[in-house]
Amino acid sequence: MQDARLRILTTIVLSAGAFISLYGALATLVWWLLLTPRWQALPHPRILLWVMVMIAITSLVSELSGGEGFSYMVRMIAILLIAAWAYSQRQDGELLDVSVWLMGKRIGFDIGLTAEMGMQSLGLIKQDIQQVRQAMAVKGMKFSVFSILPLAANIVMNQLRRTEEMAKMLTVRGYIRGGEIEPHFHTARIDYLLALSSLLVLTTAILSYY
Amino acid sequence: MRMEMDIIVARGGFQVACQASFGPGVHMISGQVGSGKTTLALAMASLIPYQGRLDKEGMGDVLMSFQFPEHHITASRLDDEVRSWGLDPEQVLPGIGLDDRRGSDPLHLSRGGLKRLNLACVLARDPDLLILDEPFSSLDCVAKSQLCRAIEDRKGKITLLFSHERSVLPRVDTLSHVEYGRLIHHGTVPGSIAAWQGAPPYIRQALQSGARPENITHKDVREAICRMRD
Amino acid sequence: MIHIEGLRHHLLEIPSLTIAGPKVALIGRNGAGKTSLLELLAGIDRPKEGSITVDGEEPRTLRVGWVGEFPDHTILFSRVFDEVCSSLRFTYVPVAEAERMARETMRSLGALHLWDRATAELSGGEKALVAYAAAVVNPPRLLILDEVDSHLDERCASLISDSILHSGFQTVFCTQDMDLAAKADEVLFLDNGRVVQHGPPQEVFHALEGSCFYPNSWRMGP
Repeated sequence: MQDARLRILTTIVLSAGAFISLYGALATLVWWLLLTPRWQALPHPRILLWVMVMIAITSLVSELSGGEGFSYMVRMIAILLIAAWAYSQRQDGELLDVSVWLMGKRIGFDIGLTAEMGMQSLGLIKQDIQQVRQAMAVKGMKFSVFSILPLAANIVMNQLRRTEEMAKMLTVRGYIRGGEIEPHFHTARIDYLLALSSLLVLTTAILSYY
Repeated sequence: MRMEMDIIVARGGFQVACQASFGPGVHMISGQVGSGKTTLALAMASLIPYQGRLDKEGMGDVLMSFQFPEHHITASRLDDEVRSWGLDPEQVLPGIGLDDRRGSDPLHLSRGGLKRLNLACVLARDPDLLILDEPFSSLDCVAKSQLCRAIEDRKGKITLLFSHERSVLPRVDTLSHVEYGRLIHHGTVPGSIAAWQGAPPYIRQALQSGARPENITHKDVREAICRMRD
Repeated sequence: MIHIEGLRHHLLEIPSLTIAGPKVALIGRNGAGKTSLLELLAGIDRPKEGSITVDGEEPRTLRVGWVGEFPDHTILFSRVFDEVCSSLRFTYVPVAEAERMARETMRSLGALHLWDRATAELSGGEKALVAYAAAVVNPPRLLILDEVDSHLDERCASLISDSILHSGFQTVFCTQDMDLAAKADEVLFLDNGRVVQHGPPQEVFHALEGSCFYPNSWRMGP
């Protein structure tokens, strides 16, 4: 779904629909089955599967002890699948674009800039973790509970150093507050279809609730 | 003591192949950034998976030093950090001028300082196989020269030097170059110098003018130029 | 013209210095104070004692371009064109004008093909090019580079070096490559916070002949 604004709206609407009632959740699942690339598009399918197994176990326990485990399971799985789908669709720079579109060139830009810098940092932290683990292996240290502390200290110190460098870069580039930017969005026809159909799902959920 | 390999390493969408044999001595492996040098180095240190055969015959310990030294730090004091390598701080810290800061946090050192600390530790351990990934990065020319001497002082052990350094280099025994996903082993010096694809500018210029250096240091190249003139 | 008077700042102690440029190389051991000096020149930091002026003005009031040692670590945005345009955006240059200036800068660096790419996908050399573009897109009064060539391979390093030497900007760059320093108009050798040598490359390197701070290409001949 190309238009980030519609995608965020759709995600919120579907999640709300899935949360409100079992029928809403089922409608969300139908939406996901019919209108998305389904399993192939999801990031980290194995991790997702594990999370779903955990949800299923929790639900079973709840159901056996008299709670509404089944309904909970269907709703949580629906929300999870929609979140995974939204995550898989994200594009570079859209946090900045949406932020500015929503909140303007001052606050919106600042929030978007922070989000962008955050994403950059996350990418570097991921590399750091991998390298620290390898470096520890060189010393013959296995990755265990005890090695988490030095690993974390390392990551944090590196991140602090980088933050300092980023701050200098912002200063030198003349950053004070906000920025002059025109966010661009491409809206494909199918985006409207997906957004409108998500409203249908929410309507179903609300109606079935009452 | 010998390392024989015929491996392919796949990592992040590309792969590097290497078919070579390294005995005791200093082996220079050049290659551009992103050519796969680090990937190969990690595989040779058995830190990442590879396909094929990698025999480390007669070898005891293997140590690798990474390009970014801060990743190696596991202790919150300099002396503990040295101890984490199984070494005595008294033996290591004075040599790099850090004896008076033994209680301080290693992560407060500059990257150059951390690099020298890390290299001092791995060299003091004197492992049978030492893999150095970009050891010259973050060092100034004085520290680079000191590192070259320390590398040359290792006798009877295998040292693999992965680097794109083009200025201060040690005397080496063999030359290799990594490009387009493979390691090209040029062979022993001095015969391999002319064919060395990763030769720095000062060597290329000397070769073009007809000089035939015995090894790859400045001194060797200068001597070769002088010999040519006589 | 850069003037330094009575400077005392951490390790740095420079009583009086005039740098004319236009291309100035700063060399010395790690920890000699090179980065501190560069940060003062860029206006990122202010001297504890003494003054630094660039053409009579304080550095922090001027437009300065900065490229650091590890461009990977200072990339702010996920899209290349956002990164290159950033200094124009921060200073509220109109959008159409900003895009025009950024495209022109990328084109002149031979990097226009990177315009639509994601910064995370770039190689180290490409990131350095983007960082350089971002530094010069809004023509700076002073361009400062802190060992940007140290971690690049020969091909990328020479691209950046050529840009440094042939740009029209007054440039102060720090490098461990003495052959590059030899191509500057002026060389400053810093040792323990003090300017020990200052002058044209011939003069400075002659004084440093016994040390490792000497261009390889000069060692080899004539």
